[in-house]
Amino acid sequence: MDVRQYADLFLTESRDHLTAFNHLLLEWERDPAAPEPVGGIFRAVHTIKGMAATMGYGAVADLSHRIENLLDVLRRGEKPATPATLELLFKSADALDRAIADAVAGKDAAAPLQALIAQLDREAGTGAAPATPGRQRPSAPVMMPEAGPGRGRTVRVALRPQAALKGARAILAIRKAEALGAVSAVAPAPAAMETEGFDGTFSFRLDSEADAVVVEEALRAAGDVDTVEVAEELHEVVAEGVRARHIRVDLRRLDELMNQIGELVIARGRLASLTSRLAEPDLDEVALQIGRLAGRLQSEIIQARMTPVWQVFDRFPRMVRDLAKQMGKQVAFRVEGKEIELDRTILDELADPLVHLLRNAVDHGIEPSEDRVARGKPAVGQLVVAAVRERSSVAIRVSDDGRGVNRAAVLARAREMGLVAADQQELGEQELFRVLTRSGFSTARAVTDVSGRGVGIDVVSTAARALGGSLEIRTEEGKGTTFTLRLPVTLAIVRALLARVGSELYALPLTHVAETVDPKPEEIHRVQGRETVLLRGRLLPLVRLHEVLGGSAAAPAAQRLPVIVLEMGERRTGVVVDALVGQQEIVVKNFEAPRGMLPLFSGATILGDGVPALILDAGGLM
Amino acid sequence: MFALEAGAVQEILPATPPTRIPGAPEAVRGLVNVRGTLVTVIDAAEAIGLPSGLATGSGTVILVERRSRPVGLAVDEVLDLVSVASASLDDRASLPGVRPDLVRAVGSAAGQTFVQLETDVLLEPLLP
Repeated sequence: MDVRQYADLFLTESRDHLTAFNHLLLEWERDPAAPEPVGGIFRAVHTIKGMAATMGYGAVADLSHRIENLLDVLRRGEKPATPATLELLFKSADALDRAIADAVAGKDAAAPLQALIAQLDREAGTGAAPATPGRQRPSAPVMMPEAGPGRGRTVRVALRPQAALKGARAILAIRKAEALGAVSAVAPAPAAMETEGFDGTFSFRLDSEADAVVVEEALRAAGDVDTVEVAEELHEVVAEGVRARHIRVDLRRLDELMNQIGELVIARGRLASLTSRLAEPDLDEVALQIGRLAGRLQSEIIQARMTPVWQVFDRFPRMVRDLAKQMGKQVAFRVEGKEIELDRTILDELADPLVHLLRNAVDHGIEPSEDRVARGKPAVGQLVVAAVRERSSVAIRVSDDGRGVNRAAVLARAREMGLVAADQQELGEQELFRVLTRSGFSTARAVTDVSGRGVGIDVVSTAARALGGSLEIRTEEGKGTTFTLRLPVTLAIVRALLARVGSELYALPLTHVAETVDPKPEEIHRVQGRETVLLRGRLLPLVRLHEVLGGSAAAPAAQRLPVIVLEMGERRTGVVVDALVGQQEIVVKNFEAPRGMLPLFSGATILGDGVPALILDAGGLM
Repeated sequence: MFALEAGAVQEILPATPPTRIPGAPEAVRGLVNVRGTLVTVIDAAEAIGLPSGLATGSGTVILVERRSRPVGLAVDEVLDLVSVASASLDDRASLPGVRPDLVRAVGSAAGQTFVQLETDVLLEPLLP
């Protein structure tokens, strides 16, 4: 066997099992009496052991085996799961992670694991002889019976072909099965059994202690039953057709595919603008069809790149737990909206900034329990990471109920650094944001007086901007802080508004566009030296794009002013353009940005006529 | 008359109207689309400090590679490809009217003197 070819696969698959290991450990730690986690961990470790042995990674297989031994003792209830035992298991998970990485890197060494293995053996009470690396021991059971009451089995039933009222028969048979235990995953759905097309074969899952013979007998009692098949279900087996089928694809391949689709989208745009000029019905039809096909292809590939956020979020619970322990804090951590999807590249880029924010929250946000109690707050701090789908973006919030940002301290530091006037007495919401996201503004000292490390919120803000998103901070002293990252769902192809300014066209991604309005010139008033317009009872500050961008002569004063309303959390700004040209999908491209370029652009795109257009960055305009 | 090392030249294209990049220095003409790749075009005369008689969108664009990405140099006209013995190039000889740090060498072909440009120095103030 060519091992290299499988090494990557082994790495990704065992990482999945390690994630499960960690999650179940956390669950177990919360409720040491729960019976389920230990079974699940056992299965995860067992699978890793099997794969490692096949790959010839002796050290990994041996370590897994020792962990299994301890789990087995715990599973049987021969020993209670004490905090010390759980800590040992956490350590084992980390060691296993490292051992796997080493093995794949070609350094499958048992030596660094010896101390831990001795500890595991002691805890398990098995003074086992040192293991022979590379050989799998047959001691552990291959599969574990399903936890919980009864055994899960898949039952397949076929009715006699000549049977009348097959639907009613099938439902009757299911009723009979329900008398024996819980029935689930009925296929086809009962409603479909009532239809003409039902051929009399169906399957379901039965959780019951009853013998296969008893099950068959009960089902046959419904009448007109031809065959009954009771398949012992092992934990990994899910009823056929229920589980989606997956393969692993190299991300680079998806990236390349996405690039090509991007070019196709641009070419489609050119084709469309050519055909509209030529007015040739036959050509129109073909262009239309190609356009539709390209559109479908594009949405398929975008979908293929979508990844649920749990793929990154899943390592946070363990990380927060370790951090909290290390700092002697009590933190209840929650993840919400795990199933929300983002483009794989965005998600990858997001991991570090989020880790940053979580560290901050535990380190500087959440107070030690005694302080919290003294302030009349619950002893355990709450920390939540939540993903929420919004219009054409996804918002990820990191919120804690800790001490919040100390405005006075930030103000003092900002004065010291000359970021605000020396005599300024208060920091407004916008100013606070500007100061905190200021590069190099080391807030840690100012905010908490605990650690001298820089918080580096500017790093998070920069990362969000680089992805075409934004960062927003809401903080209340004594009550907590919420960071909101707002991001586009996909990176390479985005929907954008095209606006004309003078003779130039600019694209503005819809991520932060709330609406467009067209006030009359006389509705615009100056408030504190800024042009504003009253929109549904709220003052909307305006930015005239033409003045910001310079360039060719302004369009003559119009009857109505097209205004694009940008929104970032609480902040809103109206961008005045000369005309709105339309909405279209644009492919984001990089270019060599010259020195001095206004910091208002996040990239450029190629329009249907082949001409480049710059993409405006909402964050820069606000 | 100026020269570039032929090895650094990727392609020679007719100029197309560029998209202006707000805030960029005068010598930056803007962005053009070269078969799906966005290329920043620099007006060579402006960058050298000579009066540019060129209307944007006319002339010729030479694509040169810089840090493995293409950059466009807009020129009035591409005249010829000449082989010059390196011995006949005068190292860094200065020439009146041209900043000495832009000159890599001075040579002559067909009776005319030309300056071989130091493109890195030329582009440095314009592109990071």
